[in-house]
Amino acid sequence: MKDARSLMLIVLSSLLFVVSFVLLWTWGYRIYIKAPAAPAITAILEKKQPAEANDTRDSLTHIYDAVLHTLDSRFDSAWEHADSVKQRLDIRLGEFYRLKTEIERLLKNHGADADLGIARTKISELQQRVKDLLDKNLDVEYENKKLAAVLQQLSVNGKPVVSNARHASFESKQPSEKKETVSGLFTSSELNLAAMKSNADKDMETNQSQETEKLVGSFNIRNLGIPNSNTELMVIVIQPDGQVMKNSAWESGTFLTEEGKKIYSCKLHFEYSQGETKRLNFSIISDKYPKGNYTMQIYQNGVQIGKIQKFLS
Amino acid sequence: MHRFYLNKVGFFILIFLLAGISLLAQNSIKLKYENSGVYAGIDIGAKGVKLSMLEIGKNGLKTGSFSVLKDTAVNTDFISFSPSSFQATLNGLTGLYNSALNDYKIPASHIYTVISSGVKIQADKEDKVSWITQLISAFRSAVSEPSRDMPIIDVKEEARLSHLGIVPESRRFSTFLIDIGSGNTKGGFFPTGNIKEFKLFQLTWGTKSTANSTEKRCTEDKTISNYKKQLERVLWGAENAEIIYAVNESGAYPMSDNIAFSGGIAWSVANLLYPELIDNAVVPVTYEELEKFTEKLYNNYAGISDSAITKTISDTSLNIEAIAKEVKRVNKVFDQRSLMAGAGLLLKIMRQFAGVYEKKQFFLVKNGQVGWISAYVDRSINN
Repeated sequence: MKDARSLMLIVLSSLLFVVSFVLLWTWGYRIYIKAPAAPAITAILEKKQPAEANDTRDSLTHIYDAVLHTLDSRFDSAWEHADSVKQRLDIRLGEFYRLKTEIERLLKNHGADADLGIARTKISELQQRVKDLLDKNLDVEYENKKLAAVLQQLSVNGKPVVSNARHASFESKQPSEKKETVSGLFTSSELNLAAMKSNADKDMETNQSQETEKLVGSFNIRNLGIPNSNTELMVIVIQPDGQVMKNSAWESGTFLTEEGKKIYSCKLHFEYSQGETKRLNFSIISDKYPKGNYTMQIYQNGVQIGKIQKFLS
Repeated sequence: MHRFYLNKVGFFILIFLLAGISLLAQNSIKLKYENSGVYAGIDIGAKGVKLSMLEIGKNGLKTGSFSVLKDTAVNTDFISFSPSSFQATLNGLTGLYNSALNDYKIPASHIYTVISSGVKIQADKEDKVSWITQLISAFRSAVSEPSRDMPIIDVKEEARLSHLGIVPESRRFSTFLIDIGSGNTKGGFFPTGNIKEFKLFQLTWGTKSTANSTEKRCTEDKTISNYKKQLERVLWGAENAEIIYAVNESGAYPMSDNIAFSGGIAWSVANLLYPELIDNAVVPVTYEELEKFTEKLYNNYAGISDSAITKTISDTSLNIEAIAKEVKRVNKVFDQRSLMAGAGLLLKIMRQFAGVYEKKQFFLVKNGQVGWISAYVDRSINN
């Protein structure tokens, strides 16, 4: 009796084991070949509402194509004019391409009707992204128009047009742009920085720091490419201790250069006629003139166009 | 008992040493210029007594450049015209005068004392002019200087002296100076090339009054976005009801090439916008730069902290520590809302001069509060 009961338990356990094994195997098999199994389910759904699903897909594909078309017509100009906004545009385009790939994958998948909902959401998102890109493009176009107008006005007024607006931000290092920029700059020559002392109401040059009463700087500038213009140059005179010399706080200020913000000693405004060699000069009066090297630097539009040193003993 | 006395003696020695160190530090004035003179001005204002010590170099009067050595104030609230405020003002005045005379060794002839326009206006309103004359008499006897000159200056004279003191000779007749105070704005220019003829310019708006009006309009919504919205409305009202009219009426536009702004907000904006120019008493600014700065105050207030500002400075020759200290001081004096209000008002006034065809040069003056002293020095030297 006891043996029969044991036998029954063994058989029952074996049966349970076999059933568990079969269930596990089936589950594993379904996971392994999930893709082929899907059509079986969607086939039933397709049978239920085939026309409606296809209509939805067609409509979504149509919207998707329309969105892409809208973007494509403006995309090139946006990319070409992207400059300071390029980095942000890169990010937006990255998001756009990611969405585009996802939607294409969803729409190609004719079996997954449930995915159409997701596709619809993603297309809406794509539409929003495209709208953002177009808005940005409009902004860029508007800014470009404004800049073009300013450049045109400057040309009319005879001001030097220094390549394009990109130059001001010092972001671009393209050789072609460098060439344009250089053509808008003056060349400086015969730079001179002299220490002066007064002798019987006459100024005389000296090399002694203790005798110095003022510093006088002068230089020539010339540019064949610049039309008649009103322009300005920044001059920096640096003392031996590295401090910028100033006549008065009213004449000094800061300006942007390729190396960052700099303090200028004075600003020189002048009228320039095309091709003319013009001599400019300035003077700086300070309370003290320490011994050592004095450096004079000349900048135009943030680019250094001349430099000279003077030693006072 | 013995231990108690020992502690007490130790305590007094410590106090004595600290006082000595403090005195030593106070007296060691570091001069910036060679062949310069040190002057002090004591101004009895509506809020209290203010001592300003400044150094004027040999070119200081011509170029308008001077160095502020010390700037101290004692709040005594003289215009409440009570016996206690009278005594506090007299004590403050005498204390600051003696400090300049004895601690800093400034000769009496180099110390100038004046009663400001704010006191005079209030005294006239309340019929308390006798309180001013009594204060002058009490002070003269306290410092044993019976003939000490203590003029009471009116608004126009104060603005005129500030102009003479701040603006260099070379720009005197082409500069319109506007002082934006906390409760009002005043300034002017010399229209005829004669320093005796001064055209006064006044507005009833100042940094604090603009901020207060905005706060009132905010009612329950205290968010910064609502503050900005209400500030725009307050400034729009101020511009249309008063600023446009006052600027037009002054006739300053065709007569001025330079528009210089002084006052607390000019000082703070100058330091936050151009930290590199820490040594400059005056900095040039453009309308566009100030416009961007006002946007930054709202959009990126963290960007004007001392750490954020010093990070942007690449020039290694600059004293970053001193810059950070000054920026911190600005942020301590003005919070975000006050800065927005003051800078907004500054921008609205500046806008009246930011023409399309004729560009004016704008300046921010940092040391406007000591302008009148240099004018006094100039006058005394000429006499």
